[in-house]
Amino acid sequence: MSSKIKISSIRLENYRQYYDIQTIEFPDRDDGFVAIIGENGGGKSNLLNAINWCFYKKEPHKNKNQGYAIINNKYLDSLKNGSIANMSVQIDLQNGDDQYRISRVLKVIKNEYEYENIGSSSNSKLKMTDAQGYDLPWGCEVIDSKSTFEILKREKKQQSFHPDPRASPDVIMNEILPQSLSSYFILDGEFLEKFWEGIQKVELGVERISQLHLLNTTIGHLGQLQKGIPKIGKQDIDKLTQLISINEHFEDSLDENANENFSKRPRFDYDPQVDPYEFYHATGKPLIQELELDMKKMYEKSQKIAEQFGSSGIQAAKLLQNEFKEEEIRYRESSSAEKEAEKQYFSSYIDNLPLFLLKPAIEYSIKIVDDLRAKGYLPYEAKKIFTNDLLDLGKCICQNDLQSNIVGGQETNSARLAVIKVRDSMALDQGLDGSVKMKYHFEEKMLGDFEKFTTNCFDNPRRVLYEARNKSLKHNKKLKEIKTKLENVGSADIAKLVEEHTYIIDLIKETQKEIDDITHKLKQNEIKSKEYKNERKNLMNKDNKSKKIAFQQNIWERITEIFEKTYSELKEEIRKQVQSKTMEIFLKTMYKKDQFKDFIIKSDYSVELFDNENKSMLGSLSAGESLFLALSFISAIRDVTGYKFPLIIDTPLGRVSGQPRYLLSQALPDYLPNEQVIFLATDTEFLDPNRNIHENGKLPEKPFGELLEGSIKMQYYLISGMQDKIAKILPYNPRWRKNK
Amino acid sequence: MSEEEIRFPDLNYGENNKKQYEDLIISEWSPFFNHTIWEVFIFCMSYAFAKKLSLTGSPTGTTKGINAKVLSQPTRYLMRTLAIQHYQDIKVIKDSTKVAKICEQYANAGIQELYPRLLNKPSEVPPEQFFIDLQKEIIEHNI
Repeated sequence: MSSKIKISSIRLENYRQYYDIQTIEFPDRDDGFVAIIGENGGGKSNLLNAINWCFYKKEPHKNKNQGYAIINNKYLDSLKNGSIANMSVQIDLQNGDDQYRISRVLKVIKNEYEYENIGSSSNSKLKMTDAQGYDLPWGCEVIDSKSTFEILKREKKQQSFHPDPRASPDVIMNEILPQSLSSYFILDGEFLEKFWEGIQKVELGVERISQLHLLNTTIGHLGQLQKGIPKIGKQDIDKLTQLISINEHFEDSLDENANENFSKRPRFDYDPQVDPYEFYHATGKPLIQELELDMKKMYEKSQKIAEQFGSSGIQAAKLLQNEFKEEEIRYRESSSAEKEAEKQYFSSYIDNLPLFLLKPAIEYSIKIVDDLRAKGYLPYEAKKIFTNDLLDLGKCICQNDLQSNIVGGQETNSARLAVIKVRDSMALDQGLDGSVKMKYHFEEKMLGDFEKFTTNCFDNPRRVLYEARNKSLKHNKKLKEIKTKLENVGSADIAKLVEEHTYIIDLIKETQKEIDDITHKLKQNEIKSKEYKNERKNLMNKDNKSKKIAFQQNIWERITEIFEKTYSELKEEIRKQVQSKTMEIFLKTMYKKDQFKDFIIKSDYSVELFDNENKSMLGSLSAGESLFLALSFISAIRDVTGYKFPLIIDTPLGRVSGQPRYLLSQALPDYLPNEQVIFLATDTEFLDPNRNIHENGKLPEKPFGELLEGSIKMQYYLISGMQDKIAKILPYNPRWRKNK
Repeated sequence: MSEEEIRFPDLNYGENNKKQYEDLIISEWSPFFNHTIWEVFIFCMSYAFAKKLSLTGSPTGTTKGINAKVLSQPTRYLMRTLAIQHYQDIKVIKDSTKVAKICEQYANAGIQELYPRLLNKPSEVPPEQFFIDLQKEIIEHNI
C-alpha cells in the first residue's frame, strides 16, 4: 500500500444517466479542493457508484439510481436491435511517482425491449431485468467474455501506459486502494452519520490503515502453528494434548472432526439475507458473536413493539407511545453508562488502592532517597562521570597529579590508582540509581498532591458510578410506570403487546446472562489450558522422542510473544496518537469547544467523548458535531499513519448549518492541507448564502464555497442536463467570482 | 533497562492460594472479576502491609505463576518500597529476588485474609462497597 494516492481524472462512458463521454480532470494535490455540484437525484451518488464499480465491481448506492439502467438509456435507445453496447468507467490514479489507468468495460447485446402495462392499456413502462447483477432493459444480455477489467501502469520516465505483469488487476487494485478501506475514502453521508455506532469503523481505521492487522494476522498464524502438535505416542502427553484440543474446540465451536459445530436452537428472527447460519453455533466465541448480534435485533424489536402501541388506535396508548419509546432509549443508554462506570470504578480502585495502602512505605523510601541525595551519594551515575572527568583531566580538585604513568604495563601513579579504586567501589551502588526515578514517579503520581490523587482515583469514579446507577434506576422505574399505565388502558391488544415486550426484555437479560456464562467458561478454559500446556512442555522436555517438537513449540511461543508485544505496543502508540490528534482537530471545528474535555479510544476500539463533568457525550451529539468528530478522526488517522488517499465526501453539509458550517469552512483547509478532497454537494449546500446565517449575526453571510475560498483554492464542476434525463459534467465558476 | 530490571524474577503466588486467586478473577461476585492474577497479588500484598498482618512464611510450591514481564515499572517500584520499609534498608532493591520473596510473603498473608472476607460478604452488599469499607478500615487502623 502506497502512501500518496490521487485521482487524476474520471472518464465515464454511458454510465447510468451520464450520456456519451463525460470527463473530470482533477487538479494537483496542492492546488486545492474540488466541488462537484448537482441537484438531488442529479447523479452525485451514481458518480460514487461509478468509482466503486470501476475499482471493485460494486455499486454501494444502487438503490439511489432511480430507474437508470447500468448503460445510459438514451444511448441504448439509439442502437439497433442486435448491436453491441459499450459502457465503461476509466479512472487515472497517481500513486507516488507511478500513474495507473484503471478501466472497467461492460459489453451488452441490445435486443428488442419489452414493455409492461400500467393501469390502463394505453400506459406502458419499459420492463427491466437483472442481468448478472446489472439492471438492464428486458432482453439485453451481458457479454461476459468481452467485458473487461484492466489496469495499466506508467512509471515516472515512461511515455505510455503498459500492462503490469506482476499480478492480476484485482490484486493490484487491492494493493493500491484496498476495498476494505473504500468506505474510508469514499465517505457518504450515511457512513459518517452512523460512524460512531459500533467499533468496526474505528477498528478498521486504526488496524487497516496503519497496517497493524498484518501483525495480528501473523499472530493468528503463529497460534495455529502452536496448536499443531501431533500424537506423540506417550499416554500422558497425548492426554494433555487432547484436553487442550477439547478447550480449543469449545472456544471455536468445533466438533471432534474439527468441523463447525451447531446447536439445534434457531437464531432469533433469523434472516437469510444477513445471518449466514439458521442455527446458533454450539459453543465459544462464534456463539457469543451471534448472541451479541441477536441482542441488537431484540432491542430493535422491543422498540418496534413500543411503536405499535401508538398504532393500536387507542388514544391513551398513542399518548404514551412517545414517552415509552424515549424512556426506553434513555434506560438503555443509562444502563450501558452504568456498566462502563462500574468497570472504570473497579479498575481505578484496583490500580490505585495499593498506592494508598503502601503510602507509609513509599514515604519512608523517598525519605531515604532524599537523604542519600542530600549527602551526594545518589545518583551513582553523576559520581561516575565526575571521577572519570578527573581521570581524563589528569588533575584532582585538590591539584594532585592524576596523570597516568604506565610502567611495564602497570599504572604507577598512586593518586590516580586511589581515584580509580573509589570510582570502582561506587559501582556497587549503581543499582540504587533507579530509586531516584522511583521517587519522582511517586511524587508525580501521588505525593505531590495527595488530595488530587484521592479525588481522581477514588472519589470521582465513585461519584460517577453512583450517579450512573441512580440514573439507570430512575429510568427503569419510569419505564415500569409507563408499562403499567399502558396495561391499564384495558385493551386486549395493548396487553398482548406489553406481554410481548416484557418477553423480549426478559430474553435480552437471559441472552446477556448466557454471554457472561460462556465468557466465564472460556476464561476458566484458558487458565486450564495454560496449565496443561506447561505440564506438557515439562513432560516433552523430559522425553527424547518429543524433545524436538517441544523445542520447536518453544520457538513459536517466543516468536509469538515478541509479535504480541510489538503489536500491543504499536497499537497503543497509534491509538493514543490518533486519540489526541482527533481531539485537537475536533476542537478547531467546534463553536462551544469548552464543553468538550476528553476524547478516548479504548483498547477494544470503543470510543468516548467526555464533557467537563466526565459525562459521556457521544450519544447526545448533534448531527453536525457527530460528523465533525468523524471527519476529525479520519483526518487524524491520515495524519498519524501518513497514508494519504483521496477523500470523496458525498453531501457533507446536509445536516449542518449556521455556525458549525462556518467553523468547518475555516477548519477544513487547515486540517486537510495538500490533500485531495472532492466534495459532492447540492447547490444549496455549497452555493447558497442563506445557509450561513448565524444567530449572533457577526459571522460572514457567505456561501460555504466562498468561505472555503478564503483559505484554499477551489475548482468546481456542475452536473447539469437533468431536465433531459441525461447528465453532463461541466466546469463551473460560481457567481461570487464575477467581480474577482 | 538495567541488569537488575532484566533479572527481575517471576513471582510465586502459591500452590496453596491458586484456587483462591483464580476464583477472584473469574467470579462475578468478586471485585477482581475480569482482572488479572498479578493485580490481585499486588493488592493482597499492599493489604497485608497496610493491615500489618503477621507473615506466615512463603507461599507453597515453586511454580512461578506470575511472569515478571507483566509487572510494569510502577508496579515494581511499589514492590521495592515495601521491601525497603520491611528491611529498613534501601540496599535491598539491588537484590530483586529478595524483593520478590518478601512481597510473596506479604501477598500470601493478604490473600488468606482477603479471600474469605470477600467470599463471605453478604450478597446484598454491592461489590464496590468492599473497597470503600476497606479504605475506611485502613484509615481507622492507622490513626
